Amino acid sequence: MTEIANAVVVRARRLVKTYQMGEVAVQALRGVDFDLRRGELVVLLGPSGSGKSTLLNILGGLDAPTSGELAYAGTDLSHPSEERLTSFRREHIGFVFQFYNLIPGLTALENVALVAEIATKPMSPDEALVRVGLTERRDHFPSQMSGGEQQRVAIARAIVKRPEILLCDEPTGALDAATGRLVLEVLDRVNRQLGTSVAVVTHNAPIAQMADRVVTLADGRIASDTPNPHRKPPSEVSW
Amino acid sequence: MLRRKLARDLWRLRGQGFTIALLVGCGIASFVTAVTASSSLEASLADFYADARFADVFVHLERAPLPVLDRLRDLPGVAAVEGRVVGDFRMQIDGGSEPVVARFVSLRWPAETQLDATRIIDGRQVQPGSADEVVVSVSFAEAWGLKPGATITTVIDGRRARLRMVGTAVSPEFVYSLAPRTGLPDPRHFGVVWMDGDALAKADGMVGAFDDAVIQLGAGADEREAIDRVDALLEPYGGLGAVGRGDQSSHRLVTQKVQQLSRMAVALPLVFLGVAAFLLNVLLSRIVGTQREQIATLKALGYRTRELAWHYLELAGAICAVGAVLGVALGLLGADGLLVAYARYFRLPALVLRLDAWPVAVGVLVACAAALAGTLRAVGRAVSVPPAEAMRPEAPPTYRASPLDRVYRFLAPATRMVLRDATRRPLRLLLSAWSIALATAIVVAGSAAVDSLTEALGVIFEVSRREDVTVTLDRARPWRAVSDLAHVPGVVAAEGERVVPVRLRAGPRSRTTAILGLLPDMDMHRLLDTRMRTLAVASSGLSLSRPLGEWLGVDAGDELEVDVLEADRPKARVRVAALIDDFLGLSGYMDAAALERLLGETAAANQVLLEVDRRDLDDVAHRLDDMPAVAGVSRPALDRGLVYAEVADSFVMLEVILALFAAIIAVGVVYNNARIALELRSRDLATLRILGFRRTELAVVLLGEQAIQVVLGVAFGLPLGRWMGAATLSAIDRELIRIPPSLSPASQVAAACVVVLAAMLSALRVRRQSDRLDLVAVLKARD
Repeated sequence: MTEIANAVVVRARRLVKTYQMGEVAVQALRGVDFDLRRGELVVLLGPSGSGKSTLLNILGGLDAPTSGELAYAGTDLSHPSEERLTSFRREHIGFVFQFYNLIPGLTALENVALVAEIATKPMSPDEALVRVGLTERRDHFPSQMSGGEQQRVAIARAIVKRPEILLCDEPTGALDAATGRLVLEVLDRVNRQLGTSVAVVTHNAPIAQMADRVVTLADGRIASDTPNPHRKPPSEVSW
Repeated sequence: MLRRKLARDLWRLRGQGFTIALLVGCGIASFVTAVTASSSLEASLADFYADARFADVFVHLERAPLPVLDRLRDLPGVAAVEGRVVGDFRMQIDGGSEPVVARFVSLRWPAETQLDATRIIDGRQVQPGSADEVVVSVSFAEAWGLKPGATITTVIDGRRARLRMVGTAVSPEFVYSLAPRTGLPDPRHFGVVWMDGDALAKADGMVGAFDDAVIQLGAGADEREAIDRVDALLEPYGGLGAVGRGDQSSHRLVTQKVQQLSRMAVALPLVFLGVAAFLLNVLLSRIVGTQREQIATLKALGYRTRELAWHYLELAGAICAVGAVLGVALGLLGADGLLVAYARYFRLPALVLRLDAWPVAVGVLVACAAALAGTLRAVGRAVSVPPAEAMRPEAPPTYRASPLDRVYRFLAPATRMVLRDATRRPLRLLLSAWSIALATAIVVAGSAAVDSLTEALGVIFEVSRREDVTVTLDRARPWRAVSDLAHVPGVVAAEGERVVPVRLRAGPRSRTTAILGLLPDMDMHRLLDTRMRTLAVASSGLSLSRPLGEWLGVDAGDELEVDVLEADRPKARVRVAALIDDFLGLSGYMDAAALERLLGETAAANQVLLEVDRRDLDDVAHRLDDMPAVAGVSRPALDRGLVYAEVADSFVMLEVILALFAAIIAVGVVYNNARIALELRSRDLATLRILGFRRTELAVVLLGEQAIQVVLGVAFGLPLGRWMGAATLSAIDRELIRIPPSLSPASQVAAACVVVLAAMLSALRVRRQSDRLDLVAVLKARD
């Protein structure tokens, strides 16, 4: 990895997140230190309730930490205003969710264009669809596409703004293995061709084989942080 | 347990439920108000009519000796007759300079048991035989602040007399009193004065005679036949044509008011209950959509379809129950308020709120039926789904390519979202827009009534009748009398007119009215039609107000028989020159010279219009008062101001209430739709937020559809309201006044503002709720 590629894009220190669930306080994160470096693909593993999704949400500006520090490219985001968080998401972050969350009333191309419209330096929506291999489905509505196709549209929608960071929460969770592999290939391609930093949350351990680095969470803490010197292409990953 | 679920569901939906309950409430309230007020009014009238022996037939004549009364009594069908002396005389109130006309009515003794008897409201009755005591109508006393003991001055038969007011009274003949000249309620310039019969006869030169009779018919007597017999008998005595109750001005207007109320009792509640039923349907469909799994689970646990259906009907029922309580309470308050307002115009000894159970029962039943009908479909769909199917999440909404996509291509994706969603459920969109249109129309209709009336009064008093002072002469006098008045200091110009009482006959139909003889080049009295065109009076023949011509069944070119009802009472056949669309009353118009030929008299005028220097108005009025040839003086400008104040007052009140109603509809529709849109689309909205859309951008997506509804609704509502306003005006008796529909741009803007503002406030409230969306939680939740 080059020196530039080594630069830290998002730096988190001593992150704590406590949810008040009725009368019980639930600690989702208990002091997490985490760096996401430029151009790397990180897989976050861990059982349900380990805090991996909470961490991803905080990194993406969907949620604010109860305490701790968060900085994006040197700018402090520990106690952001609502408006700053929105701008941060709008300019730098792409999201991919387990249930795709496409807008049902818009076609594939329109779902992508929706984001291109509010981004500063977007690629063309058609190009984004080419990158996920879905040009021929551009005028279909979500209800007319398979789950894998919908997830690829969601990825196209996430990358069209050329985000620095792509955050994926269980992107293959609702898909069968073959379709899931197709989606992972798209993520891998985006990471390699565009240099986008990608963080993938999953509880599907084999996916870790395609990562530069594997971080394991347990009980709100980082249990391990292991570089993977032999990153495999998704086509060779099996589960 | 289902009860507990019901209570929690209701609490969760309290905002939406309340806005719908409010609509149900308005429906019930408008029904209860209108029915209770009209039945209270009818009952109070009936009591008063029976108690004070309201007559069946009324006739005014020139003069007949008292024994003629016995011949009247002997006519078949006649049960009772009373002869009276009735006359309009000028009057002066101490401290007032305005022209006042009083209708003097003679009292017969014992006063309590006469036909059309007076009922004393304040003070006492006149002492029998007293020459200077009078009782005056309540509305007149109130308008002038007169208390028993006050003195008034009058000029009867050219002689001045000072009279002492000893009390105020009401009579069934004058429940609603209209000033004879303007035909509008005007208690400051027109009052009724009751005086001892002998004293009035002596003052008016009517000793041993009568000039007015009221007649009670026996049971089963035919009114038409009786009127013909009375007319035939009184013909030699200058009878002016008898009229039945239907044409008695007070009774006719009060009856009209009761009919208007009955009509309102149907129209307004229909609007509210229709909108409420629609909203309940939408709300229930949505609840059912989100509770599919719960319904399936309950069914799997063994609940019967019937029990579940009942559970959802109870939800609708609870909303209706809140509405019913609100509606009945508001309705009774409204009825009470309306009666208080009516009590200013309708003078009865007592206008009592009559509480009937049936309007309440009918209102509540109809409202609940409408609401339940609206919910049945949604409930039916909910309980018919098999449990296994319902436990799976509902399939995502399907969208298909449509021809509109060509158009959408040019629009931003957010706009496309809004338009596709709006057009996906066109029926719901149209029904929502229709509800908003009704709300707008309710306000516009109210404004249209006020605008039209203002416009019509403006035309009548500013363009058509331009004189500063109207002088009624004691009898027809040579035109020289007009130029005499022109020389009174302060008078700038004078023009004479001839007003002749006549009975017009066409075949079996006849009508008593007046013919106005106009000079061709009159400046102060211009004959205008309702389209504001100046009408020229034909040099020969008789022009008739259109409703009069229609009543008589004649058209231009037909011939009429004219019986003149004064002096030598000549009869003639006259050709109808035209039917004209004038504003007020039923009149005939003729060229002054043609009228002179008809009457066989040399030039004469009995009404003079004066243009007066404004500074000299009071002086001129005083000078005129002292002239023996002058029978009455009036100032149209004063009439207009006071009349308008009276009429406008009640209309402004009505407009405020209607605007409030419209706001309730707009809030109900927009708040409910926006809330439902928020819940249905929370996932989309959260996604958009995560993708980096700002709250304001989200608001466009969330509220865009509501905006489309409101814009469509207001656009439909303006012309609809204009039409409803015209329909409201058509309820006003055409024989009294023809008001061309008119609606100012300002009123349209104001109506649109009321609706748009109400809609915006509700939308903002929902927007605030959308700002609090929990992004992560929403996305985690399975659809």
